[in-house]
Amino acid sequence: MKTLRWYWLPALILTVVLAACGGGGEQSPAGGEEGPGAPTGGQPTGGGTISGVVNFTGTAPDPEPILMDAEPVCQERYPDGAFTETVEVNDNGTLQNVFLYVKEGLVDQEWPVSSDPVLLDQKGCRYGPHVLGVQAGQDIVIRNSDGILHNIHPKPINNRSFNLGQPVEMETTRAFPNSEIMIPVICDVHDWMQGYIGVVDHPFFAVSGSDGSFEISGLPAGEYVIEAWHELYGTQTLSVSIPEGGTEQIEFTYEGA
Amino acid sequence: MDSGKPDEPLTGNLTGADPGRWFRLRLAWWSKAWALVLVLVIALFSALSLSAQGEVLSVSAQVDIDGEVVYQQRCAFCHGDQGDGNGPVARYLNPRPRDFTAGQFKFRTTASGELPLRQDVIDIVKSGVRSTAMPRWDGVLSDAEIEAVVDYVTQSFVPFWGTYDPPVIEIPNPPRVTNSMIEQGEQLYQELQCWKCHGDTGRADGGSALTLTDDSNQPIRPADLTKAWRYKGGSDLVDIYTRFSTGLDGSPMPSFYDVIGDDERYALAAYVQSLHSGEPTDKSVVVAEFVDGELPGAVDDTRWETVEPTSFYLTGQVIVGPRWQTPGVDAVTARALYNPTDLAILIEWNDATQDATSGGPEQEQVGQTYIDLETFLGAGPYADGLAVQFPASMPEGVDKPYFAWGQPGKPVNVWLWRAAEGAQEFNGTGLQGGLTAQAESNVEAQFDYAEGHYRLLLIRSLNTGDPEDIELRPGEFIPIAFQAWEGSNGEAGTRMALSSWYSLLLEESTSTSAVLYAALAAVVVVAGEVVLMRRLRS
Repeated sequence: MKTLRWYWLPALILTVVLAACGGGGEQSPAGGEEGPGAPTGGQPTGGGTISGVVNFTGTAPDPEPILMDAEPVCQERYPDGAFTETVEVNDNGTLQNVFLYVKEGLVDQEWPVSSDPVLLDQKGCRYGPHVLGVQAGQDIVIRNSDGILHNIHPKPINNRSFNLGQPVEMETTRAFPNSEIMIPVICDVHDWMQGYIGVVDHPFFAVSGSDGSFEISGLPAGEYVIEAWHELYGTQTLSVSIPEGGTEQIEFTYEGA
Repeated sequence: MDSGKPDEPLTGNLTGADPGRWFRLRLAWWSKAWALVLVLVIALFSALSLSAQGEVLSVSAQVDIDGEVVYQQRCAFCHGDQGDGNGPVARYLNPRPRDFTAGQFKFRTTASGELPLRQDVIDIVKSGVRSTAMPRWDGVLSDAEIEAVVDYVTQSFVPFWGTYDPPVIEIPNPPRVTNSMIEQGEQLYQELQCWKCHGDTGRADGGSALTLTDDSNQPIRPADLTKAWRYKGGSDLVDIYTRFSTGLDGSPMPSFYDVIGDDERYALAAYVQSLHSGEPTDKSVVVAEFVDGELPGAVDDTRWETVEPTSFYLTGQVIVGPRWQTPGVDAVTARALYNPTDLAILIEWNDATQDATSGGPEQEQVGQTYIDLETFLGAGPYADGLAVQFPASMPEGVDKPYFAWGQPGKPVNVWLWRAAEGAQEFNGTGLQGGLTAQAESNVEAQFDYAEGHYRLLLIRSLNTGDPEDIELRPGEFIPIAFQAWEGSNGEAGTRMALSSWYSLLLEESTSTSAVLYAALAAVVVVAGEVVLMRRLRS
């Protein structure tokens, strides 16, 4: 066997080690460095806006009364009685509490998360808002404004859940790291309490208000698919094309029975 | 070495053998060497194999135990082939087996909603979960098998497993419980409003108790805090503390980690522990003390507080269909007093709901049987009930009637109280025939219900003269058994909880004449011995 010189082996090892460590992967830049109109600093800065209304036609089911005898502190806030919020039709024939978000069409990138938290309040033994939108990783401040025992118990599938007791007026902050449409939220102490949280990977979402309207702004130019979600009537989608800095109006319509 | 001179005394080597002789044999040097090598090799091999004995168990840890095989053999029939808690027997179980695919675990040391640690899961498999169908696998499976199956389950079924380190909750050592801790705990119980679900006295009768559902949307009840033996995660102080800190994921029980500090959580745990009561022991006799006068006529008579209680387990009636696997009442506590004419027996049990209406006919007719739900009681509602059962006559020897409503030829005498109808005496000859109401019932009842707790007083004369009634005589171990019905659990007829036979003893009072005679006998014996000793000495 040919005799190797003594220095070959250490040289070989050194070469292998350097090759493995010295190269390294390119670190992908945090969002905001490429793509036209991509947001920086947490706020969308593209100029495009999608606005519109969610209409409702047909007959909505009658809201059911909620028996709050078990909780007099809350019951007295509803002198005319408390009713379920499953279908909230506004006076102008539009539908409230519809969650809308951009489902397709966004550039695939990391959208910076706002450092401002969103608020989920427990007030009068109800969740306010009934439907909440939040970005993945954005803080949710869960407040107990009632001062009686509530427990905040979301039941997600794509995220870890939690179940926290809030016996007094207090706030707890949590965030969901993964997108999920939609996470039901309940309180075990008060079985009528029901809320929903929509978690998306980007800041382009909205919830239709008491006039049925919504607005999603800061969008870069592009072709988008917007999905609307309602807790009873399900989902619908619409395609919309946004020019740079432009505004488009869209309308969803949900039909009652 | 030498044989020694003839005139030297013997030096202990009596046989004259010379052990060193073998080595001085004139064998070839190489044969001696080989013999020595052989001896050394044998010695070394024995030493090695002896030390290897001690390592056999850990060798198996290195040998690949297939966790999947262990799972299929031991776990899959409850937890399901897919780990989703839907094995073939799961539908008979309450609570249902853990659905690993949901990733929610009740008993762990991590924060609310988080995955357990691997060690938490190992601990559960080893200890089992009390009051459920999850057995204690420690001692049945080896440590290596338990670790293998835990790894298989967590890696195969639990979502997010291995993707992050769940935040651990530190569990400080439990402090010594003091009265001020318990008082502080009671205050916390009020302020944190635990009573909303667990009830003011911890008997799971809180206002929200009946509306709770678990993560699978199955109805679930809060724990009855008085029943220490039913705490699934253990009833030691540190166990209770851990439950507050982590919450029971998958159930309505939240974590209060963000709300109160370590000391306060231990104080609350101390208060919860102070609620424990009514746990059966191995005491199997209800001792009825003698009262020379009137017996207590009400459940809240203060005299009951001095009577020694005895508690008994009840289990579901699974002998005839429908097999009742999950009865509402699982324990009763009995106290008894008697006087020359009557027996008074006080029975207490927990029931989160008072069900006092029955869908059945309002009047008991003579000869009507209490058994057939559909034809007799209809579809409900059903009322709560409790029965005390005796043999119709004292058994000869040890041959008691069948413990579940007797048997043909060996009837039982049942004092049955129902919330809708009151108390009545029945006789029974077995579960098939049911209980038949007596024409003349001699038992009276008084009861109350408060905060999830029933107290029932049954009074009957010791000897009614009715041959179908048990005659209660002092000094005898009279067989006694209990049955209970929780109406809102759909219980009536043979759908019940029952106990096996225990004993009732009417304690005979020691009369003064007996003491005097004993004393007299002692004096006579001592005097006789003194006389005898004197005689012997002289």
